Amino acid sequence: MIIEFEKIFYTYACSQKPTIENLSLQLHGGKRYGLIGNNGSGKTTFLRLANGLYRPHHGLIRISGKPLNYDRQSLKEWYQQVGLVFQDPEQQLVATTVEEDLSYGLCNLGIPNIEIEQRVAITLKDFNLTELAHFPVNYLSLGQKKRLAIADVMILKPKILLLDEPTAYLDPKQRKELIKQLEQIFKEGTTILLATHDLDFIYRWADWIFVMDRGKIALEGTPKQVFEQKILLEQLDLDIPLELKLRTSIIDN
Amino acid sequence: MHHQIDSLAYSNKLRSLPPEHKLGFALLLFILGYISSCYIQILISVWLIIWIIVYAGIPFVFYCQLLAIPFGFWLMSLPPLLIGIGAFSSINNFQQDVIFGFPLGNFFLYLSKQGIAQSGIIFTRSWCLTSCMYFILLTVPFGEIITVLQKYKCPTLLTDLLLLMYRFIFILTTTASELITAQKARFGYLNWRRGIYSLSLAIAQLLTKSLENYRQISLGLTSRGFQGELRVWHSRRYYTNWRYINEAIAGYSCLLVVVLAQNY
Ligand SMILES: Nc1ncnc2c1ncn2[C@@H]1O[C@H](COP(=O)(O)OP(=O)(O)OP(=O)(O)O)[C@@H](O)[C@H]1O
Ligand SMILES: [Mg+2]
Repeated sequence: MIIEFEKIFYTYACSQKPTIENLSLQLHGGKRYGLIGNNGSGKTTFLRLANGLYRPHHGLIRISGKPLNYDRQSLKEWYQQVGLVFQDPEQQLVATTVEEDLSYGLCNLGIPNIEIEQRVAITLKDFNLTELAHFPVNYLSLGQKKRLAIADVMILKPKILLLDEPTAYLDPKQRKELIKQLEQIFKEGTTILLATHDLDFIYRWADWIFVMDRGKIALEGTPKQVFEQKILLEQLDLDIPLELKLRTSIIDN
Repeated sequence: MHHQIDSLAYSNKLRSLPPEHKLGFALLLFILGYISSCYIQILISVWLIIWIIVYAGIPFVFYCQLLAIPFGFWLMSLPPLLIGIGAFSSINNFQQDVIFGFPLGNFFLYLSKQGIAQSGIIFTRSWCLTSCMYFILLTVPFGEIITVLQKYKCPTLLTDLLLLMYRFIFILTTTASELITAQKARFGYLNWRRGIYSLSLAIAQLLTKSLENYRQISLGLTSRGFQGELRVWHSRRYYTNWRYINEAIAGYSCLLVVVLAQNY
């Protein structure tokens, strides 16, 4: 599976300058992708374009060669194949209990109840939520809400999972747990694209990193390749991971 | 307070009873309380105290706080009810209504017999009817009320709206308390005038934020494949408890017999 983005342009209704400008990139199945860039560089906008929520004003998005048409039926399939977890889980949780919330996407797809029951049970177990099945969504902690938001998307078995700053606002323990969960999801065959400011994490975790700057891909490559470009990164006002900093300072000494 | 009612609805001891039973019971009591005399209303209210405190296990103090709300409104409505005023010249017309009074210029100010009776009626009625409402709110989680409404063919538009409003209240109150905490941290409420100013800022912020929230939640719904209807599935099992059903039916029948006997 390949998802291609070809010369994408997107401008918000209330701004003059395009937020995404001539962006092209490819995502291949079975990889872990990182997306980094400064605040306002357009990461969130890009993820929403990729999820089909926004429609580009120019350019094409293709999955395995087939372009995305923005009609009802293809969008329905698209949302299922390309799942997006918002930065704020609050915005994606709709039902009153954990179990009901998990079933929401499946109900939208019109899946029969017997299958919903099975898939909910499996997902609850996978995401360590079984004990919370009947717990009210409104009283979950932020970490639990994030876990649920990811589970909500993963229960639809997407081919690719898009995550918008999943580790933001989490304490170290919950961050660690989340990373473990992502590793598990990846092992089971889902491609992941993750937007983050957490350079230390992305440096260790990703197979391939995209660096975004003012709506374009400024740089891409393996973590090693990307963070070797010290001058370019400095121009983009981006830091380098702590691990690399330490290593260079040891070598310098 | 809203959060506490809501969390009790999830944790009370009657949670596992079918929500239809609880809703039906409270609704029937509501109707009976609405049409009957004040003695029946008192009986219903006391009986509901047993249901709420003993059977559902709602903390007594909290329930008293809840009851203080209608009681407060009742107190506020008292002065215009109890105090009568009439022209001194036509005192003969309302003499039998006066318990105690004194002239005030051309007028006569007095404590009204009718007013006391009326306030008594209002008191028992509001106590009884709010008790029925509290029984529902405290024992049936909001989501389950919605499920029952859906089951009995309430329009989807209405149930979806209610559900979204319910989610919104939580997001909104959290946002509001965060805003106010942030303002307090920056000395926004040091004195009365700054306080009013900060509060107006917070309200304006809250308004724009809730609009933004609304936009984001619609995106969130779309991204999860919203098909024009909020449908979910659940695996909750309810347990019919005959002891409660028996008590409900027996008690209700007794009340009904008394009401009928009084009226005919
Ligand atoms: N709804 C909107 N209407 C108008 N402009 C917007 C809207 N959302 C975002 N923008 C603008 O688009 C640009 C890119 O925003 P975006 O949220 O995609 O950036 P980001 O890379 O996700 O930033 P961050 O790291 O802070 O999350 C910003 O300049 C922002 O002001
Ligand atoms: Mg963002």
